[in-house]
Amino acid sequence: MIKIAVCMKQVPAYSEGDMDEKTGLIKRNGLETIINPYDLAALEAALQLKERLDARIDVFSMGPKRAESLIRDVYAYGVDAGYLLTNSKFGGADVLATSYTLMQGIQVIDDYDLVICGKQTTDGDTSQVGPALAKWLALPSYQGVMRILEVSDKQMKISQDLGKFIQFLEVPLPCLISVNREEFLPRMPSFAGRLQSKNKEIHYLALSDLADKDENHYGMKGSATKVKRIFPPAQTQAVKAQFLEGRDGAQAILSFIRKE
Amino acid sequence: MSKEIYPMEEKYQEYLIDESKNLGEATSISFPENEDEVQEIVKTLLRERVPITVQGSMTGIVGGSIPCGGHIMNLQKMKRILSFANQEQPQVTVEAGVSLEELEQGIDRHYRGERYFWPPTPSEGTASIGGILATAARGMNVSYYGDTKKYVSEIQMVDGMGKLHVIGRSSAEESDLLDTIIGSEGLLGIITKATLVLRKRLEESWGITFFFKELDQIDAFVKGLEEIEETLSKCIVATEYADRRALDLVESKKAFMNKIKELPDIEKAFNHLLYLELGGTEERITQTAEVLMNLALECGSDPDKAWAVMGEMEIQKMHAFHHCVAECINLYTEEVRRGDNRITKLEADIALPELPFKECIEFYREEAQRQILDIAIFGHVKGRYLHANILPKNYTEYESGEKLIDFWNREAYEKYGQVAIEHGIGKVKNRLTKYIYTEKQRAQMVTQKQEYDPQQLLNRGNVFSEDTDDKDSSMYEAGASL
Ligand SMILES: Cc1cc2nc3c(=O)[nH]c(=O)nc-3n(C[C@H](O)[C@H](O)[C@H](O)COP(=O)(O)OP(=O)(O)OC[C@H]3O[C@@H](n4cnc5c(N)ncnc54)[C@H](O)[C@@H]3O)c2cc1C
Repeated sequence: MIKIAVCMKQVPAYSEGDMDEKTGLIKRNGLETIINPYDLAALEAALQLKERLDARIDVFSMGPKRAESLIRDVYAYGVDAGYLLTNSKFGGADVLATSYTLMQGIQVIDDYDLVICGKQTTDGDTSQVGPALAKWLALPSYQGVMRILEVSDKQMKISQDLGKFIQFLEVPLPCLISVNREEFLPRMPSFAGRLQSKNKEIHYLALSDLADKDENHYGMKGSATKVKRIFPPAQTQAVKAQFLEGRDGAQAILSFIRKE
Repeated sequence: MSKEIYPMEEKYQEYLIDESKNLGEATSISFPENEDEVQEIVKTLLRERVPITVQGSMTGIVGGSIPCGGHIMNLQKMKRILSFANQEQPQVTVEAGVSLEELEQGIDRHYRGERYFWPPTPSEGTASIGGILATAARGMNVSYYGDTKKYVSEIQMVDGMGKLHVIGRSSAEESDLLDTIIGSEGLLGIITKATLVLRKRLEESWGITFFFKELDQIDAFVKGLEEIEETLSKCIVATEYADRRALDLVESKKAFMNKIKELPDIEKAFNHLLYLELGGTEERITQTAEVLMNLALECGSDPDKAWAVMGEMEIQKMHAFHHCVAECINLYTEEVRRGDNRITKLEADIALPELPFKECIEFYREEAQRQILDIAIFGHVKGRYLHANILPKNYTEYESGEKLIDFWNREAYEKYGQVAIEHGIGKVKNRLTKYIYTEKQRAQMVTQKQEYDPQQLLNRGNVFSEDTDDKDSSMYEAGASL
């Protein structure tokens, strides 16, 4: 059996008008939260592996107490155990502190054969947590994974998106991969899974559960960077695309030009 | 200036067609920006007795906003959200051209995090409030929240003489009048403003999509559901159906539809989809879900294959999916229309209440099969508001399709004595008015029309075909000089 750890985060469900134009801050108050869409791809990669070979999937998430709904949600997909790293000391973490906390949580639970991360989050957007976590865990890491072509409990054959090239690699386990979303489009959570998830236990990990209990290594205190300013990109107006052909298309373009 | 009446030109071509894909004609057009301008334009046109067709966002599917000569008054520039009031239930007053999407954004901005919404939500988010009220449009949750009328406390309307009426609910008589205007397809006046009553969203929501291979299986499920519904603590908010043909249409276009392109394909073996939305407290939802799980197992629908989403965002995705069913059928019509512009949308939206689900499907399927016509069926299971869309490949099939629609309406009329439909009559179905309204109702409508629009200028051809039959061509040409 291979043991897979998937790292997932709850993010705000932004929509138009959620960013304060002046301060550049997200108006989080009242915003619904969703699972980071890129992390659902990481979970999908794990679920696909579980369909191919004997595997156990554990999910790790760092976040406030309300992120327990993420653990509930992932149980609906068929996850075996969900761990929520939650503690007031973990708040305000940057890439360094987040990856360190995740490493502490993962290590306290098991030695995993494979750690899977999403490409990025929609609220942090750095794409750095995966590689940083690999560094802490002393694992080789591969970003932009498009497909897992072959897998055994010792190694995997993967294809990796390198921008201009696609690289095929045979990699030994254990390792960490970050997957592309496009190639691992998430399945829908099943109804049976959703109901079963109600009875599954959410595992909480606080600072006191971790090997390193020094609070200076976590959250804001353990962070090496500070955000000075966030600002929204210039607004462009959304225009509905129309697909027209032949004479109709020509007519529509002509009347558009005339109206302008 | 917006109150100007512009002569029709090629650049206004798009205002001659709506989602029914029928093409109209007009001699002039205007885009008023406020109520005063609406009044002024009506008075000007009245002097010349120019008929007026009112337009919101032109998403209607029965040709209600298509002009048959005369003037087009398009309200798309009346887009202000005017005020919010915190009565017993919060209310918002808007201009008629505000779209459903704009309304939702406005409510969210004002009541940040308080989760208020306006319950009548037809799936087309670009539809205008004026259009929604004129057609009494409703969404998939109608069986839970009730009619659109319930969520309107006041309207302002300019009648066919240019006179402004403010109609609220301060007396039973006034309230009846308001209810009559909602759904009267713009025959009595131009709705310029409306005060809408809001509700709080339910605490939690689940959207469950069940798949069935056989009609008998889904029929047994619906039967089972209806038997236990009373005991299910009333938390079923919506029940929507789509058949395989409708699903195939969505799958063929899904890649181009942003909101749903990432949804997984639906296994070919599944021929029927049933979407149930549950709302309420977590406890009640879980109890209901457990009952549904057993029912699904009994009826041969695999709960491991059923989708179950939670939360507003995910539920919106499911709504988008069901909206795309309607949209893809319209796209299909648009594609065949390009080959032959005589072809328009052919839809029956008849309510067949109390008919077992299977018989409802067979009601449409049997005759369509006899006529060798391709159809796609989708819609609300509760109240059996299913929509059967004919998908003609050419004009010959289109002609047979028209006859089939008439046949279905006649059959329903014979069964029920009156036909209830969902999307209005407009111009496309005005030949069926005799099935839809009783003689007494028709007479009452004529009397009201006489009172509010004695010159019969507003929305000619809607509901009553006589309007177009007796058209005086000089009247239709009159706008040309304006
Ligand atoms: C993909 C798709 C999905 C749809 N789904 C639904 C659905 O779920 N439920 C549903 O009920 N409908 C649905 N519809 C139909 C349509 O969206 C509704 O009928 C809607 O109410 C029309 O609004 P509109 O602003 O586009 O009106 P228009 O099409 O512009 O006009 C419709 C009618 O209302 C009249 N009218 C418009 N504005 C006013 C006004 N201010 N005063 C007086 N009369 C006016 C017009 O003259 C016309 O008769 C759907 C349509 C599409 C294309």
